[in-house]
Amino acid sequence: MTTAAVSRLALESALFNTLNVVTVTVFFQKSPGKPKSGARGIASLQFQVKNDGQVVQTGKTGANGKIEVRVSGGKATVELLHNNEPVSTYEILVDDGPFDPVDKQTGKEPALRHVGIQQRLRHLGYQLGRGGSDDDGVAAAVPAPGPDRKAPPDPESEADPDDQKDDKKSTERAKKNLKSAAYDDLTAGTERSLLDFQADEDGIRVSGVVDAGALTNLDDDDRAELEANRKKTLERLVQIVGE
Amino acid sequence: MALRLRVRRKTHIVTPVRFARAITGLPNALDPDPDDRGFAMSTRPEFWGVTDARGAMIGITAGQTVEMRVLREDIDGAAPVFITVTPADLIEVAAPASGGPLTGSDTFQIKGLKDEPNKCAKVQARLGDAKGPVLGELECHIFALKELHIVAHFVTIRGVPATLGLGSVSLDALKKVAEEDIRTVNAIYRPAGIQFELRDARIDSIDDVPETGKPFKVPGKVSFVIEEPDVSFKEVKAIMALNSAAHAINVYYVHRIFGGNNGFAARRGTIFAKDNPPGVVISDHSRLMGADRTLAHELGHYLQLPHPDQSEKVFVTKVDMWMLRRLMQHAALTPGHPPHHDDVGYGSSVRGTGITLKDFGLDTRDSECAILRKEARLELGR
Repeated sequence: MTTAAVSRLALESALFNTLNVVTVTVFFQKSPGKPKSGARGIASLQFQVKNDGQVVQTGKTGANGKIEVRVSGGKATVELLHNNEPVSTYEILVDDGPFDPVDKQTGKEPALRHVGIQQRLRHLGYQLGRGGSDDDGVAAAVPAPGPDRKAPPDPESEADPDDQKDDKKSTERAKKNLKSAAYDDLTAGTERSLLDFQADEDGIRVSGVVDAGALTNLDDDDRAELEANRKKTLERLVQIVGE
Repeated sequence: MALRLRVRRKTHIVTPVRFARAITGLPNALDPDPDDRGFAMSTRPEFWGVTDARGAMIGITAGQTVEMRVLREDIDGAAPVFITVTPADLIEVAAPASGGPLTGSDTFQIKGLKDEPNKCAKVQARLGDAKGPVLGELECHIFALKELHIVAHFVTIRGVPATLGLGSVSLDALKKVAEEDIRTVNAIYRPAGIQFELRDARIDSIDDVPETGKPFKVPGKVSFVIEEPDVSFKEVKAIMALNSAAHAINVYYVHRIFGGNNGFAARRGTIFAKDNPPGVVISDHSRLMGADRTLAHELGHYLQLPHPDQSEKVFVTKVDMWMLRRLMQHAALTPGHPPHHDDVGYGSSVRGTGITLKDFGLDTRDSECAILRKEARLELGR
């Protein structure tokens, strides 16, 4: 059922009511990503939509979990119901603006460097945690990076000249170990959702890397592979969501 | 309070919940780490069975109760959420009674009842009541317990004993520490349906390397100097052959290992176990890093798991937050810049102990649970 509030007009009035209503589609799903079949949708969710506090729509989701929300004045409220009582409320804000660029925005403060990625992941239903102006993890504050994690010292080994050459590769490897600032400007929620996205998409290696350039001491081949994977991740994200 | 959805391009997808480990902190058998990497389920190993769930995956030993948590990502904190399971002959809800509503920390307990070939179970979080809409799903694989035996050797090399961090080196005291370590190891391996049992503990002593007739290079230490033919693999082989017990995993506790390493495993089929039995060596130094978790890691190697973050050329190639949660990750050398990399759910600077169930195609070192169970089966047949 759908209703909209209008003003009563005098007979033959030259005035008129304009229904400034847009319809947006919200999918409630058990897992994120574009719905490829009914299997992901949350069926039988009882809901109501309110505009300006008035109930304007009621219904129950089908197999795909879809709610066509009629939004008046750029805002609406969706309430999930149980026994006809609201149990979870969503404030719908329609944003006509474009997504931010998907590439890392170097030079901006850490919280704003990956907004384009965050917006797209969020659009697909990936969970970024909390924080940011919408409290949905987009542009959430990034905690300051901590120090390198090191193994506890072993004085006996440090004093043992053999251990400096024992398994020569060990020392060489330790020097070559991956040093990474690649994750320093990601919140936990952003890294997790990026990993989730990579795992969910066939043909992408799961690395969470959005900045292969920040990985040092990598072999050229490894760096090239990670960089190619990073590009593929962003291209896939743009391909699915759009610019 | 309302959750805000900023709708772009006139569509938006909401995924209200996901499943996660019930607690943060050191591993214990009640609170396993699920494989919550992505929502795609990947290819399951033969005989595991398949559900239509899309979400996290967990392993439960038959007869075991475990605790999990629903993470409310995009649903009101007060919305009533219930847990249901299916099929009833494989799994049951142990708490809360009637499956809900979940309260406080949103934890629940489920019990795996039996391991049946080609069948697995599903846990569902529902809104409102036990018949309400399904908000999210978890796939459960229930495994019959496989018990592997360990024989612990507390080795004195040229008069310097393994002390396991104790002042005393009495067999009883050393054995008690080893038993405590194995208890944690069992908590880590419980989701894979594997248990280790300390069958015997021995005090062993060695001064010379049988192959060369020369003494161990450094008292108390298993050396490995590749340029010195008399040392090279020979000290490792000498330890692995020391009083080796049949039909068991021989774990040798020594004071030190080459390169300041915490542990070492000679894996069946590798050069380290070519002319000697396979086995595990654990150093006293590992006490600083968590000797129980070092033992769990080395037993993983013994059961054919490699480092997942290692390439042919570089030791540590991957340091994402999922990699850091894995038992087999080469933790000691990992940078921990963002705070969520320093604490991956087990405490600050504590290595993760997750064992993967999913098998993502491009990660050739995945599906660890299936590898472990296959190797445990082979081990029991030997």
